[in-house]
Amino acid sequence: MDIHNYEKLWLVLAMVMIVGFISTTTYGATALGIEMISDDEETIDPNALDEDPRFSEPRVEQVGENEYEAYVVARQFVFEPDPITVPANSTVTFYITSADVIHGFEVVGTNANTMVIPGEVATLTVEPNEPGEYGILCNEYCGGGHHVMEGKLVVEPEAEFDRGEADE
Amino acid sequence: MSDALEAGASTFVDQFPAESKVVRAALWSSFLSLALGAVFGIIQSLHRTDVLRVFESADYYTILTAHGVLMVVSFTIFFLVGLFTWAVVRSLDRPVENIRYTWTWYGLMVTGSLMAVIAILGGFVDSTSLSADVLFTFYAPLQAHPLFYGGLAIFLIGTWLAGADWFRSWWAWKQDNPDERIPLQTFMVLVTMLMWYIASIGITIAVVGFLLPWSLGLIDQVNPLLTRTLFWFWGHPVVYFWLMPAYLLWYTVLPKIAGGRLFSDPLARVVFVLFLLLSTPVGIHHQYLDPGIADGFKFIAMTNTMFLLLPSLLTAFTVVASVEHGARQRGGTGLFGWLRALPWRDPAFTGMMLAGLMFAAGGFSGMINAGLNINYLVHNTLWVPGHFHLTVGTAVALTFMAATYWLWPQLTNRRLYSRPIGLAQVVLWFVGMALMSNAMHVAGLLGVPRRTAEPQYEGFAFEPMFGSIAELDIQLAVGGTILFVSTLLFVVNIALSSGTPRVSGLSSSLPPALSGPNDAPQVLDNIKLWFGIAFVLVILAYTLPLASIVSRGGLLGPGGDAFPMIAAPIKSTLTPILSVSVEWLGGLVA
Amino acid sequence: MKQTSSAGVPVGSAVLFVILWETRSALGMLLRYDTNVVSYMLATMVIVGLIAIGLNIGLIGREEPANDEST
Repeated sequence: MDIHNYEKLWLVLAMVMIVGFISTTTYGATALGIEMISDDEETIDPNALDEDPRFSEPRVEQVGENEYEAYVVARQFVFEPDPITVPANSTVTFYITSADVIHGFEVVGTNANTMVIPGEVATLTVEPNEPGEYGILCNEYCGGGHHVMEGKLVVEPEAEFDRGEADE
Repeated sequence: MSDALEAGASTFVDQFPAESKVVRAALWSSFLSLALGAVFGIIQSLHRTDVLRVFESADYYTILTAHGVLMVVSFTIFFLVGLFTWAVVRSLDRPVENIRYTWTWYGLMVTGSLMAVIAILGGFVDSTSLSADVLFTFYAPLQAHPLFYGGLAIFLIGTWLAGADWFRSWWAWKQDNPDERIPLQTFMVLVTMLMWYIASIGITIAVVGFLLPWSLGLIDQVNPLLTRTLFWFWGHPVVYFWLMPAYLLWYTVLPKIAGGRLFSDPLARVVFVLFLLLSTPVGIHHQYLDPGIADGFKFIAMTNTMFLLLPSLLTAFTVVASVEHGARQRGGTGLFGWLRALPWRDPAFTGMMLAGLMFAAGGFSGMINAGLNINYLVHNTLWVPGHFHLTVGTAVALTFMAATYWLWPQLTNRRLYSRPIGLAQVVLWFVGMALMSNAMHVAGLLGVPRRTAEPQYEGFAFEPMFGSIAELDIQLAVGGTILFVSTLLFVVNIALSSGTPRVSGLSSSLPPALSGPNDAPQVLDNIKLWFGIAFVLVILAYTLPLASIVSRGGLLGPGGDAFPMIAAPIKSTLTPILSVSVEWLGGLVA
Repeated sequence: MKQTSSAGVPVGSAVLFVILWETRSALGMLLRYDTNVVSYMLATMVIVGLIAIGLNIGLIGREEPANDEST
């Protein structure tokens, strides 16, 4: 097969670029430790969320020195709890499931983003550093009220958070 | 390739009047779908940007479902079957084996799309339970009326029968020409259809095995992750089903229009074989953020997807080389000066070139989507429609429109009504799409979601790095409006072309490639081999993920209810009957 | 006399417009350089317009007759 020299060169450059993309993506996945949403959790019955100790009462719970877990339920057309309050400079793992249809969970202005599928629990670990209020929106069509489905993630300065938690 | 067809003044319609009728019917169905889809498109672009809201926001989702299905199912695939019929008949230089069979599969496609469209538009009318506000992706547990799923299934069957039609033509031709290489256009058609058959496995299981029985009440629940995964099994290769007809045009027609010849026939075959092999085992890259799918499978999907860049990059080279060859044939000189020698006045040429240029941008934004962890930033944001309006919305749609300017006279023996309007149309499309898609990409990076009627929220604001959200909204609306005008110009130009006088001499033969089929290794034509490898790759890519989903959640899911999508009732100004007549006309106008 | 084809001007203008407009996003996203949308759009249209007019009247462009473009 007759391949022009320029075409051979192009083919080599294309392969170099492709391998480059795979490498940088792999670097992000390994060295930088950006984990993808995976299948760590068992499946769950969306009609029986109140039987699950995590989702019967959506909340934020401290599980370690500076580690928290946030149990979030997405349903037409709210996120529970609202707002989700976590302390700054901590590690928060979200456990998110749906009570009805497929939703999205996106913390606006960040790369915290996941699909929320009924029957499955999405786990997402983030490190909120800057205190502030972040909007949460649903980015997967979930019915006629999809566009009003929003929530809030409040990242409190550490001192304030401890106080608030003690009150509860 | 046939000399009898190329020599002399006879056009395709002169040689094959019966086949021309089917091709024109298919193209008309395609254009009417485009026109109706475009009406919904401009409504959306004005609504979500809060420029003009004439419908309730709940109806936005009916409109969005219609826009998606009409554009990426009806418009694209009707065009494909018309184009492929022309390409096979032309390159084999023989009529179809049985014209009644051909009309039958076309009729099935019309029936299926009418069923689906009626079901969707039923969402505007509150007196019936007909509705399908589920969007193009119809993710369970959102549930549409069974007419929707049934319509899609029948449409799909029509396309399978169309593929069988072209295989029959090829086999018959092979009996008469046992030692010849498969003509390039027929090769491209057959390889595309093989990819389609493999891709169809996923969606057929999802629709026929689960969603249709579920919507009929025969089963109580479905596994949303499973049906979603089966959808995307088909959902990625479908974009190549849209792209490969455009590539067929770029490889076999564009060089001729540019004044030259295809640089390399063998490389074109290699590209199509690569698509057959790689299009399907990548579907999980649409599910990078799905819980319930192991990150290992996602990683493999990423690497496969990155390699899928290769055939498109090869195409870029070959297309530009072929066009450059044409330019130099026309007297062009210099490192870049040859560009001036090209027939920019020809809307068919300029349209395809602008489409190809825009595709480069679309390809790069697609690479970002494919980048596994970077997908966190863009998934389900407005960036994604920004990307696919460049690819299916321009590389495919604009190429189809440009090709129509070239092909339609050969199907009708009538000149195009107005070439200058054709040129204006393709330029407007390019500018409108650049504005709209640019706004979508930027807004998406700020977190603005896709598929949302009112992306204006109470508790927070999007924070742009430059400018403002308001100007992004206006830019999107302006771009969408320009696109709508461009669509109108296209459809009206073609419609008015029925009124130009019949003339002769409109034929446009396709010259052989510079490096012809006989320079290609024989193994390239062994499509059984490539089909076999493609099938194995798909089994490897999907068996474990699907088995894992089923073993974890069960075939019918761990629980959950159906959510039938009945739209909020409104006074209907658009009845399904109107749209039925409109699409039925497509079958009659030929 | 410099000549640019009658199709080259609109097509080239469209491409130039898109390049200039996309540059605004690059400036904003990559360099964090904010530009006023109205001013930028006016400037873009002025630049494209002047170049188009210049090409049309032969003030700028290549010093050779345009190649025949009819097909």
